[in-house]
Amino acid sequence: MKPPAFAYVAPSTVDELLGLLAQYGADARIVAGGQTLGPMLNMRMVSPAVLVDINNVAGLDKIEKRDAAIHTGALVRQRTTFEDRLVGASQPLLPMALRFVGHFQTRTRGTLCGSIAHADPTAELPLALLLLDGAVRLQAKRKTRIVSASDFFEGALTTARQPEEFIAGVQWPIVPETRYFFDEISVRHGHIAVAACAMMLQLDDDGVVTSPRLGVTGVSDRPLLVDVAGFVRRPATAEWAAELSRYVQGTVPTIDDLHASAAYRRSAVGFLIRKMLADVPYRGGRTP
Amino acid sequence: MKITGSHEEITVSFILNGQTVSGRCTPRTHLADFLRHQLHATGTHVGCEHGICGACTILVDGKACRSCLLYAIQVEGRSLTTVEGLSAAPDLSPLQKAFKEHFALQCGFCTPGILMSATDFLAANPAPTEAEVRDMLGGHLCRCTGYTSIVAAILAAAAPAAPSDGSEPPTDDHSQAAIV
Repeated sequence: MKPPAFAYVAPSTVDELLGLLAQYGADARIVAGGQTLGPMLNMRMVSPAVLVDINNVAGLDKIEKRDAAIHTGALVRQRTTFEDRLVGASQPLLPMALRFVGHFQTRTRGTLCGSIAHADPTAELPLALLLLDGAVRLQAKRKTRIVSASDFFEGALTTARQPEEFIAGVQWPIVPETRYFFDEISVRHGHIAVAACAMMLQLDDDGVVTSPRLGVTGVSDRPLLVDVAGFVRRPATAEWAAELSRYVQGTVPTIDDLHASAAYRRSAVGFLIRKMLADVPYRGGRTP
Repeated sequence: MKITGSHEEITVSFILNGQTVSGRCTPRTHLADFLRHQLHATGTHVGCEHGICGACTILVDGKACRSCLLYAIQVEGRSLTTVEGLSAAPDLSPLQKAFKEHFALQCGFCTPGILMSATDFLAANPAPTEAEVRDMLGGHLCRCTGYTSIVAAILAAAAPAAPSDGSEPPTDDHSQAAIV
């Protein structure tokens, strides 16, 4: 499988990049890591007139911690983030999700922003961003705007990004004193999730849940948050986790496709919640 | 800022296994095809051409990458290592030697890619656990060996401190990480 013919340009500044996007609009495709766009090109699911390679644009590969968030630029690689101990200590959900993203070899090139831009309905990073109530920074020639994750993901492979905009960075909020959980079921590790669950939880000194937040993906056309406000002010016991699991299993809408039936996905979500939350006081990635 | 036309032939130059090389291609030429067809460096194999099988894995600036998901035009001036660069014939690198001693290949089609991944992996993690090796191998398909002998070879080539008896307990609750 070879890609269709495309013109190629590699700008070296953001101004050049934004000029190209203004000029070519939807005829252009941005490539950073290319770990999803590459297969799509090879399978001819897309055929852009021009491929805009941002790998030579200076300054896009920064990971910064400021304003209670981790900020990752457009060229920050999944592998760099996964191996960054400071990121892991500040926002443990990132490495927890990243270990399910592709493989060691694809994370070398693959970027966080690329995964967010692609908005695959089974992808881990969009789920993590939604759970954290993070945001996407979209830059165009005339203006820059920040869009929350809940507004950004509009459906399968569909986002709020306009053709003349590029994802300059993503903001991953840091929430203190929080436990994080992430797990998924896939046919083969590193492949698409049949179902994935992520959860953040705060407990008071007596082990009572003060603010639970739960998200699922792989079950619908986009990552979903499930309203679990009813599970607050109770101790995080095994009974609590079992009840939460039954509730989410009964609430979350799931789809049938060639990978799994809707019933299997419901069952998988329930299983993942019970598995993630077993012995909850002792588990979960934690922020100080 | 030059825009290369979709059917325009250009010259791409980079360092391959320590030597400066160059060849002609259009923007759509895969790096893997460029290596094989233009440079006749046929050690790099091409399998699925969508990033799953891992046969085309090479090192770009020392890091394992799929050469079917890169275009030759993207690696101008970079430093690439392929299986031909692991050792000078007839010598074998310690990793290649371990593959031979542990019967870690049968048809050998997947082997160059796995050797390149393992080279980068062991450089970053010199004493991995068996679970970590299997996690890394998740990025490769081998239809002959059943992976056991490959895992044994990589562990043997790793620092002596690494456990190799398969008794390493799972590192966490993500037990599916061990399924390759």
